[in-house]
Amino acid sequence: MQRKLFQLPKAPLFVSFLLGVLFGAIGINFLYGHKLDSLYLERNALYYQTNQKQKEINNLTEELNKLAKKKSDQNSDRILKVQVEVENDLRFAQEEVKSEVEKIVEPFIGKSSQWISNNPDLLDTLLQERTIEIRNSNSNTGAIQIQLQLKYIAFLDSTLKIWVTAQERAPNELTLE
Amino acid sequence: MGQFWSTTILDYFIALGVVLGGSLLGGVGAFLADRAPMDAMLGLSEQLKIWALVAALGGTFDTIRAFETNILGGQIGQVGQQLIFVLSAFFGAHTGTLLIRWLFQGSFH
Repeated sequence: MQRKLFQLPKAPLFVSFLLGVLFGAIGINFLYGHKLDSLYLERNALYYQTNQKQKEINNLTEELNKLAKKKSDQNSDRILKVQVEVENDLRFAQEEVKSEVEKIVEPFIGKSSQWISNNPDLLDTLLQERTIEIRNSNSNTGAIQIQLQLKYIAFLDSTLKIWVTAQERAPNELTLE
Repeated sequence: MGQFWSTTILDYFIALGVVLGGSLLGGVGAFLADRAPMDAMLGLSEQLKIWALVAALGGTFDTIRAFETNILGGQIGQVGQQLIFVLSAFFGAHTGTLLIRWLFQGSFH
């Protein structure tokens, strides 16, 4: 009984409050409805613009990736580095021979690998029986003559790999020339 | 006031109340549901018209049954009364739609 008496005055109050909330919400809708509608429209327009910009960014990124790939494909056809492997019995002159051969074939850097693979005789002609002089501290004479011979060539992406046979020339051979 | 006129007026206001109340509270709901409230109210006022008519007449089947009974019974006067109730409810719903349009657009068109 006590509980009912306590609840009765509260129930109409609560209903009045709910009705007040509803009427208040309707009133606010009346007052600010137009503004809200224009804000919603603006938001939709901004969403649309953002989507368009995002699409544009995606297209540009794709285009950029394509161009980067194209550029990298173009570069992969060019010789950017020459790697020389020397086959010889000389223990101390390996690096010197390598650097000398690298100097000789330096003009091929930047050239098309396809062009070189179609004309390997150019490299062969350049290195065929070519004699280079190397200063060797381990040798008694001070300088040794080395005769080069091209053995193999290979292309590894943008690297031209050359195998060269190097033979020390005897002093009497030198005098004959 | 006779039974006929009181029913006619009641139907008119029931239909009007359904459209007005549905639209106004629908607008509040639309705002809570992150949609444009005015646009939702105008849409609802059009959509609720037919339901307001049905609600005012107390269900479509009863009215249709009354039409059938009266026509088959030869009571043309009763049929006319039913038609006036329908028209009254229709005008009530339409008035509600026009009021909502007028309130938010500033014109009846």
